[in-house]
Amino acid sequence: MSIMELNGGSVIAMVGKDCVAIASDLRLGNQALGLSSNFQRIFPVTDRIYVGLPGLGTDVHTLWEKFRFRVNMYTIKEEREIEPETFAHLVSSTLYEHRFGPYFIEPVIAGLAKTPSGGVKPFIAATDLIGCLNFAKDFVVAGTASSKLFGMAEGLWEPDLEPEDLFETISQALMNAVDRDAYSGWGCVVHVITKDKIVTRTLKGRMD
Amino acid sequence: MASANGGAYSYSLTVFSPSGKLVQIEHALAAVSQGTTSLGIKASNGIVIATEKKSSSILIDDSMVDKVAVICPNIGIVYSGMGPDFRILVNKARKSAQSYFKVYGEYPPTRVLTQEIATVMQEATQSGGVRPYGVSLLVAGWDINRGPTLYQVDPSGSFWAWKASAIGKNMVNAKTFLEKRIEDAIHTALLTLKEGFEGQMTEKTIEIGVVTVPTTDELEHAKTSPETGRPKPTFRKLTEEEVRDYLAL
Amino acid sequence: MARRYDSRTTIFSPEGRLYQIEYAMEAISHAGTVLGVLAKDGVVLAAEKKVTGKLLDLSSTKEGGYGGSGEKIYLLNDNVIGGVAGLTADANSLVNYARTAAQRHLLTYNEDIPVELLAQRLCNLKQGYTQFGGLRPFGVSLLYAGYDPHYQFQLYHSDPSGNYSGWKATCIGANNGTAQSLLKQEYKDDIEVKDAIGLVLRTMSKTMDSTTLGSEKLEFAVLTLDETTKRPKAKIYKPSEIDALLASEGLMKKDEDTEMKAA
Repeated sequence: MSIMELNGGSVIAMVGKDCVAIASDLRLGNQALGLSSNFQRIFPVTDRIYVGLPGLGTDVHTLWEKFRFRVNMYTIKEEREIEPETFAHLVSSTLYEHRFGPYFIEPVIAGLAKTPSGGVKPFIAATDLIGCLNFAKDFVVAGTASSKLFGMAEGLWEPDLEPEDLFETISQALMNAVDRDAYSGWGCVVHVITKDKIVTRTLKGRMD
Repeated sequence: MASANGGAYSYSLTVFSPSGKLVQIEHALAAVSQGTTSLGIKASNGIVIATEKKSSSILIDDSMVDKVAVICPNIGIVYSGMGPDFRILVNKARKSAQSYFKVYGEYPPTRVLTQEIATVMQEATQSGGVRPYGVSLLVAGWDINRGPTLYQVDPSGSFWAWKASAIGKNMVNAKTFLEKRIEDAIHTALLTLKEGFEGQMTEKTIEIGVVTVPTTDELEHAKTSPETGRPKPTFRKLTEEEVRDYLAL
Repeated sequence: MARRYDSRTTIFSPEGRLYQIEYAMEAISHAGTVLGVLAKDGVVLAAEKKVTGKLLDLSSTKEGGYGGSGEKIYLLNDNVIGGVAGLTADANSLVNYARTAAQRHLLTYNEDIPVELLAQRLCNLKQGYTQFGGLRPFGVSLLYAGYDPHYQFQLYHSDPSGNYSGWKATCIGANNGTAQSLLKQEYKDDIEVKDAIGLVLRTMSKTMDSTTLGSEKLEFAVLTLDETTKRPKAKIYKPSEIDALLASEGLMKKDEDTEMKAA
C-alpha cells in the first residue's frame, strides 16, 4: 500500500476562455474505510488563485499552513499579491526543500494571471510530490483517480469553454472519474474563477 | 586617528554616544563623502545611473575597472565610498537575487532587493566585531509592479526612493543642481557629473548604466530572449562607444 | 568615569545604570514623533516623517500594497499596525521580525497573534540585546495598535530596554512630553474613532517642528473592526487620502518650501 493512497482523494483543474476551474472530491478515508465526506483539500491562496492538495491527509493541512505562511510573508514584504506563476514556483521550491523526506502531496494550482495590458490569462499547473512543475495549457489532474481523470478530461475538454460550460465539463470529468475509483468520491466541490467573481458549487455524488 | 571630539568611540564597534548618535555610522558616511561622485536620475521611460571613474595612473587598464555593477537582468547599482566594500555587497546582492529567482522563478522587484542589501548593511552596524560598510549605493531597477525605481542605501542600512539623487564628494552641489533640472536623464546626468569634475570627462573616466522600461508589447510577447532563453534585461551598462557618443552631443 | 561602562550594553555601571540603553533612548527623543490613541471602537496612529525633499520619489505601487509611504507606519499583521521612532534601519529589522513572529503564531495556533504577545516577542528580542552578546541595543521605540478577540482594541509602547506597557493614548519621539500633556488634558475614556482622529491630528499639528501639516510630513493609520466580517480592518492612509483627511478636519496648512534633509 502506498502512502499516497492511504487517505484517497483527487483534484483536477481546467482552463477555459478567460476563466479556470479547479475541483476535487470530498472523501477522506483510511484505505477502504470512508471517514469523512466533507474533507477540504482545495484552498484559496489569493482572490484569483486556488491550490488543491491531494495526498496524505495530515500533509494537506501542514502544507497548506506552510503555503499560507509563505504567501502572507510575500504579500506583506512585497506589498502586492502573488501571481499564479510565481506561486507555482513557490510551491515547487517548498516541496523540493524536502527532497529526501517529502510531503506526500501532489499540488494542483489554478488561477488567473494579470497581463501587462491589464487583462487576465488563465493559468494552471501541477507538481509531483518533490516539486517538479508541469505547466499545462488544457488540464491537470492528480490524486488516486488521476488515471481515470486523464481519460475523462481527454475525452470531454475542448478549447475556449465559457465559465458555465467549463463548470459542466470539469464536473462531469471529475464525477465520472471518482465513481470509478474506490478511494475518491463522496461528493465534490467545484470552483470556477473568472475576472470578476468566483463561483463555488458543491455536488452530490454516489455514497458507495 | 585619536581626535578630541568623540574619538574615544571610534575604537569600539558601532555603539551609541551620549548624544544618541552612532558615531561609527557617521564616520562611515564621512568615508562615503570622500568617495567619487555618483548619481542617479529617474525619467518616465527609464533610469540613468552614472559615476566618475578616475584611475590613479595612466598604466591602469580603464576597461577593467567596474564601478557600475549589474546585479540581475532588471537591476544595477553604483556606489560612492570604499571599492572593496562595494565588491562584497555586489556579491551578496547577486547571490540574493539568484536565491530569489530559485524560489519564485523571477528576479526580485527593485524594492525587495534594496531591502535585502539594506538588511546586510544594517546588520554590520549591530553585529559583534564588524564595522559598518563604507559605501552608499544607488540602486536602479525596473519591475512590473512599481515600474522604474531608484533607491539610495546608506551605511546605516536606511534607504529612500528618489526621483534623482547624488552621493559622494560632490553630492551637495550635485543635488542642488539636480533639483533645478530634470529633463533628458542621460544628458542631465552628464551635466551634473561635469559640475565639479576634475580633469577631462571621457568615456574612459565615467561609467553609465541605464534602465529601460519595456513596452507593453514587449512584455506580452518577449518574456525571455530567444537566443539565451533568459529574461530580457531591462538594466544594462552603456559601452564606451555609447558613452563617447553621448559626450559628443 | 563613565567611559569604562558606556560602550557596553551588558555591563552595569557602579550606579547600576546601563548607559547604552540611555543613549539609545536619547537617539529616539530626536526622532520623528509617533502618536497613538485608543478609542472605544478602534485605534488611531499618526507619525511625523523626517525625510523630505523635492527629489524624493513619493509615487507608490501602481496597485495592491497596503498603503502608506513606509517610513514610520507598517502593517505588522492583519490585526496589528506598528509605528516606529528611532533608527529606520534598526526599525526595518524589527518590523521584519514582528511580521515573521506573527506568521509563526498563525502557523502554530491557526489564529491571529494576540497584540500583547506580539509586543512581548519583540521585547524579548530587545531585552536580549541588553543582557548578552555584547551588541548595541536597537535604537527604536514602537507603538503597537492592535485588536484581538480577548482584549479587543489595544495600544502598546515598547522601548530599547525591552520594557513595554499598555496605553489609552501615548506618544514617542521628539516633543513627546508636550504631546503627552496635551493628550492627558483632552483624552476622554469613551472616545470614538471619529473623535480620536481629530484628537490625534490636532495634537500632531501642535507638536510637530514644522508649520506645515500634509502628506509630505505625515503618516496616518486607523485600525477598526469590519462591520460584516467582524475581522480587524487595518487602514494605512495613502498620501492623497491623508491630504483629503486633513482638509476635511480643517487642518490643511499652506504649503511652504520644505528644505531637504538627507538624514
